[in-house]
Amino acid sequence: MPEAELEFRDVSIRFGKTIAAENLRLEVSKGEFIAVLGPSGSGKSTLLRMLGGQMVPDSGDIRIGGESIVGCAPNQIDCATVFQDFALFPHMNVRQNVEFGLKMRGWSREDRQARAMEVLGLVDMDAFAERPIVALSGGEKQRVATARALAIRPRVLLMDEPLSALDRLIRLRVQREISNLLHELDVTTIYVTHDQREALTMADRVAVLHRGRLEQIAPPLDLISRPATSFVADFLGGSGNLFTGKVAGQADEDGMVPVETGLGRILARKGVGATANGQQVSVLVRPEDFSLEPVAGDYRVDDVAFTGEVAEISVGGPAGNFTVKQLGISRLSTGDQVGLGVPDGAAVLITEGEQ
Amino acid sequence: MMPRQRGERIGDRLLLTMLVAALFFSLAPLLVLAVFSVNDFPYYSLPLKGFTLDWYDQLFKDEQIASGLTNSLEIGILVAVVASVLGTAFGIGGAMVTRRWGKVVFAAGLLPLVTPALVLAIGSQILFVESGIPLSKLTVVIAQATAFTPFVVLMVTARLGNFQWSLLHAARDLGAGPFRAFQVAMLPVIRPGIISGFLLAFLMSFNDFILGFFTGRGFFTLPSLIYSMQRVGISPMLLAYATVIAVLTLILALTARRVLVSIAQRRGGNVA
Repeated sequence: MPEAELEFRDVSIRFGKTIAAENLRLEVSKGEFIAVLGPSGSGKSTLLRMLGGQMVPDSGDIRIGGESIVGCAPNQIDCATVFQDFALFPHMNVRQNVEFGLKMRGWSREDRQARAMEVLGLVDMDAFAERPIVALSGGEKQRVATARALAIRPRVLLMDEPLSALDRLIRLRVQREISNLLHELDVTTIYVTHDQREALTMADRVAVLHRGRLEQIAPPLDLISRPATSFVADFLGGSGNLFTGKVAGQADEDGMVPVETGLGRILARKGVGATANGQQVSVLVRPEDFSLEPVAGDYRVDDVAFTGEVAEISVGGPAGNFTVKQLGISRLSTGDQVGLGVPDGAAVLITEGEQ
Repeated sequence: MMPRQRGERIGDRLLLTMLVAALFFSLAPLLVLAVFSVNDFPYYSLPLKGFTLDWYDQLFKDEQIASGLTNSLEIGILVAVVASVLGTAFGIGGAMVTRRWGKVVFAAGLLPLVTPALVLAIGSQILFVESGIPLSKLTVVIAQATAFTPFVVLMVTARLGNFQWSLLHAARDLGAGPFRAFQVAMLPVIRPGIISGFLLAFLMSFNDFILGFFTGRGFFTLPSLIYSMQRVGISPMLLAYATVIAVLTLILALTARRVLVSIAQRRGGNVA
């Protein structure tokens, strides 16, 4: 296996009593797009700051291209950052902003200009080269900030919630543009976000952080279908649909495990860890995977909320409270009695969840 | 347009009267000075005797005044430079402070703003004398710089109120060393504050009588010279001096505003 382009080796850092990173281990290969996902306070920003040289870990090592960057000044590290507020120099125009990093590297005026126009072309901003920064919209600033970071051809591109300042519609478009561009350019990217949709649609792999610990790193689909911990399951849209069960047999050749639960005996998919017969496990059913029978059953509809595309239905019954999502408009209303079922393979086992 | 109410008209007139009165009372002393400075009589008394520029001629030929002016300019420029450098550093440091005790220390540093000049002057004099530092121009510079630095601090921190700190990180991230990052990311934002602070410190030093009087020995600044001269009666030459200073200050204040605006426009920012 080729050497990792970027590597975190047992990195820990704490501020007073707060643990911002605990034995963080992470390997990223060249050209990979990694989204770092987690709630606020999970240590995402700390991870970026350590990479950018603004913070030094208490222990462990961070390597880029095999060389340690711990203790290096920010201007000595071969990374470039796209900041949350874009951090474009307000007294320079678009081109001067993009040229700045090249100027610091001693490029000649002609070379700088040519490179600046080239990267501005990549983000469709070459026509704006001479505009002052104050005249740009949020989306345009975002592109310029990306171009400025790409101009210096960094080994690793760091993006710190780069779309959080944009309107939702623009954000959706820019998400795709950035992801396509960076994959095309084969730039190794660390993309920090708290928006799971952003992480799942853009990244090759998503790293989920929680209280400074790496809960799981996996491709988006795996993360959804086989969350390693109950935190990951919950954070990625599980909506609290976790319940306990007891393994009641061996896994079959399709990886299906029979489990006894409060919702009856169900066939669940094997999770990340191993399972043994009789073991106590957590079971996750994503809200969209439940089946609701509109017949008088054991579960009472507590609330129906229509969010635009799906109806979110809260139900309560013998095995607890659950959230169910149905596409389109639901005919159910509060107070209805329904049956709650778990189709075969709709549930997944979580074996190393939080206690 | 709507027909205006009687009450509104009276209100408008009242406002206008107050404005005129305010202007009159603030400008009247200056006008009186200007008028008597060209009066052809060695004492200020009515009726006016005739027009002359002799007092101005005397003023510009007076060697004591010339040496006082040189001293005042020397001290003023030194004080402005020292106060700008210290005030800028202190202002940036203050803006970076987030902890509560840090804010307290910062506020303590601004105390000279509200301390009566006389108290500062006496305190400084005692400090210098008791620590064996002979009173000189240098001690005046030290005392005035101490007193006027907080004004620069205020000007600089006002500019840093909504400073985007990520600009500094961005500059470092793109390869700039610490000084270059400051120069590129922060200096353009605080420059108008530093310039106004510099001018303010200069003007305050130039006009200062109390600190110079208590902490300097063996020379006159313009204000202390005027003070000693008026003890034997106010000569029209002093009135001429006052008029010149008032006009110069006015010009300086107006051009300072202009310079700041043009810098801001060139930099794409604002002067607020």
